[in-house]
Amino acid sequence: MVVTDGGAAMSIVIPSVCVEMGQLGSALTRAVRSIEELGYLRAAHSNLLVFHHDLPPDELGNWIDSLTLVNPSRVFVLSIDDSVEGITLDVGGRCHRVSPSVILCSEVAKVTVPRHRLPELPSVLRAHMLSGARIEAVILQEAIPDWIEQLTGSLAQTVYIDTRVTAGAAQTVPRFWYRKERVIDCAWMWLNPWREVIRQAFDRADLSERLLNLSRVNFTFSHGAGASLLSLLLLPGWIQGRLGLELREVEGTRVLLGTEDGTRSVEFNFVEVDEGRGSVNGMAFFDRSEEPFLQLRVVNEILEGQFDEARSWVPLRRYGGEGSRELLERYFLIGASMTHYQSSFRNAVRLLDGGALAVQ
Amino acid sequence: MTNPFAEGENRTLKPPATALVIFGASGDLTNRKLVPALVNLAQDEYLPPGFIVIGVARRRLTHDEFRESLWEGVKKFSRRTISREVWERFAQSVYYQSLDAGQEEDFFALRRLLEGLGQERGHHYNYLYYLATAPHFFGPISHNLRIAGLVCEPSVGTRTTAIIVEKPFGHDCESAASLNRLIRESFAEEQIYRIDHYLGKETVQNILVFRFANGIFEPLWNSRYIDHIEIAVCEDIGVLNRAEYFDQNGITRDIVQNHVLQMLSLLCIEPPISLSDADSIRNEKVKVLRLIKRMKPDEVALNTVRAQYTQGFIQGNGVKGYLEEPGVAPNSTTETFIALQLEVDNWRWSGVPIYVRVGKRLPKRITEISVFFKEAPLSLFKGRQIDELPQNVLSIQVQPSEGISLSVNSKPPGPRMRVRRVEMDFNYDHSFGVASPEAYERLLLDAMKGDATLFTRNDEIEEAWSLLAPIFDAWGSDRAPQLYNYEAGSWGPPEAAALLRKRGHTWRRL
Repeated sequence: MVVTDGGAAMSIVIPSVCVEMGQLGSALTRAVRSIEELGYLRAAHSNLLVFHHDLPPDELGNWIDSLTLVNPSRVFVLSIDDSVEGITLDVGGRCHRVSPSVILCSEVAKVTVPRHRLPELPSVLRAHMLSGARIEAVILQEAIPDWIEQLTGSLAQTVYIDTRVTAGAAQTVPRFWYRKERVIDCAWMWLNPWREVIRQAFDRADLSERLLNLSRVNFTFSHGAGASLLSLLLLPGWIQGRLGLELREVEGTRVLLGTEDGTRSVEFNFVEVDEGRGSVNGMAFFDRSEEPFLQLRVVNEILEGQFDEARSWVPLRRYGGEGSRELLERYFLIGASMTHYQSSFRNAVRLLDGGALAVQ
Repeated sequence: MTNPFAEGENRTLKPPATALVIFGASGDLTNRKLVPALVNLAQDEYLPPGFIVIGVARRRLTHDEFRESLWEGVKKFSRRTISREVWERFAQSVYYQSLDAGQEEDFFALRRLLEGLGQERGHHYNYLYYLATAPHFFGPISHNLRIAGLVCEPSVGTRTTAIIVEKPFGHDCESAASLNRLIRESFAEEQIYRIDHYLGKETVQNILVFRFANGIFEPLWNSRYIDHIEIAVCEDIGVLNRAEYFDQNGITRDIVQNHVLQMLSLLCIEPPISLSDADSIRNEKVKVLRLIKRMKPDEVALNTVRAQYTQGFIQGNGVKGYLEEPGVAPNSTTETFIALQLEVDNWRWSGVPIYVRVGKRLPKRITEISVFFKEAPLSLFKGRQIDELPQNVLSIQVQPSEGISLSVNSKPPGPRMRVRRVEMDFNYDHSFGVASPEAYERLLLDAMKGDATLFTRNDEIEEAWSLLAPIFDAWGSDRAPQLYNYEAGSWGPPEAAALLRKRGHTWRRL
């Protein structure tokens, strides 16, 4: 057993051991009981399927450590390896001492399976999941192959992904919904500061009046390394949905939207800038005047707002370059509203299919 | 006359001197369950003084050959390690007699053996006969026991005699009644102990303690607070070497008629007059069984889903489909899975659906009773992005590990008002520091003491069969509901989920 001091919480790694199929459940229980004299408290209340493609062991361990503190689980780390003969199981644990007498543990089973044995995998997982506990899947890789889709579809209630990096998200995510799975998207959670700021801005009476005459919204964005276009359109898709607008026309970087009854039209303009990390960098809201009545921008990881041309920029929120892990940790700690995620996503897909953000 | 020395004394732990005669002693039950249970009782010194067990079967064996054959079973199936020394001591009380159930003179020989051993050991034994045989032997055995003078009238004379029979108690109402009539020709009702080994399990017995020893649950134990109940008996094994028997009966007769309905009745009974009186409890159980709504023919398809497993994977191992199992008829329509919806039609339970799910070749072995309480009103949490309040669920795990858990909703630490489900649970192994005895240990001991609380009465069996009769009739009719298929290693056919969806429910994730 290796004990490392992680600051307030002390991390304990229970080394994994290879076990036979029928021993998986008892080995998991034994693994964490091995530290019982240190004050073990079993708190695993969910089953977590973790899919990764060649994530380094240290990084995978960090992932599980982060999640253990906020969401201790029975973790099944699943990967394909065609060099192995059969399904192999390695059982261990990742724990944190959170007080002198309390240790939180995630039980960890690494399940490695060759491709030709994939049909057998659900039977292994079903046999060893915690009864009565929810089943969730975390997908830590860019591509989501069929086997992951099918496995999560047959087992998981919730899927955690990050469409900032997920390839083919426009097709994959709706398929998760079709299978009645809840999708928690890190890309959506990353936009929390934007949505909060915009919501609070239009809580002001003066600005909400001007919103009634909204004619144009300019978005500046940067592609960044590997950022998906779809994730860039989530925020415009949200605004579109909240204003009740439908897509009318896409002309290059100009998108025309309007209400169903035709009484209102709004234009979205997209301007790409070189610097940035794959995100929306700025927004400007216009009514009938040429000057914006609300501007928002990100500078040095601070989301700032300017509420009319006479005022200076006001720092509003921190908007950092959080990765999936930090965002998921925050989600388990404080949650996030996913109420409008689905409609925003669908709007984003339509914008993308319509040609918005096409190569400029 | 009541015994003046019994008042104020605790119920005796040790039964009086008993000779246990096991018919069908060469079978699996003796090897896997009965003798390992007896050896554990011996180890804990619960067996009565001078206790003997006589194994009886057609095969010709010496006492020593029989003893040695049992030792392998004890090593393999005992819940804890038994030393050779303990076994040797116990084995001195084990005997064997070859016997043909249809031959009267063999029973007279048995009597001579029993009386001889009693004299040799200086004990006046009560005789307890365990019929670990197929049901068609029950009649001849009980008849010949009586002919040989091995059955005594109850409460008369110096010796008590009793008979223990295993399920199946018949195939349907008529055969169960017929079987009972045959045994009743020789034994009185109070001398008949019908085993349902689930009643010997600690958590099943704990249903009554949990309900009636805790003030907090009984006020909620009704339709006002309970939304629905689920009973799941899931096995990952197939039919093994019981294919021929199973194919004649199906899982409804094998498991639902006895284990499930016994658990259901304990869950739903009114408080009995006393928990110390066997008939008080059994009277209440019969009432529950009588009050379960009987299905009309056209309701069977709406309230039941039956299915058969096809090939699949169990824990990564490929397994055959039911029709490919040796001993199963190739065109068999025997169900290996059933889901059904029942309702107890009384003031306490009216409107509360009780869902039952039983099957073979499901992903794991688990037996669980789950009581789902009605949801709290969401109104207090509006505007807090709390979309649902999961129901509180009281879950009684019967196997593989025994325990009880209650899921409640709690606010996780953090700046937002959120709700997360947490479990408050207790596990027998962790909570009491003492391993639970096997069900058969408790049942055998109770039978020796003459305590019938954990045994099934004849009217319970009759009511159970009468409840299921419409279902069997519908399945055997020209307009039988469909027999679905499910892949081995899955949780059953999708139609089983549809059964619950009608009332907005879903099966608990196991």
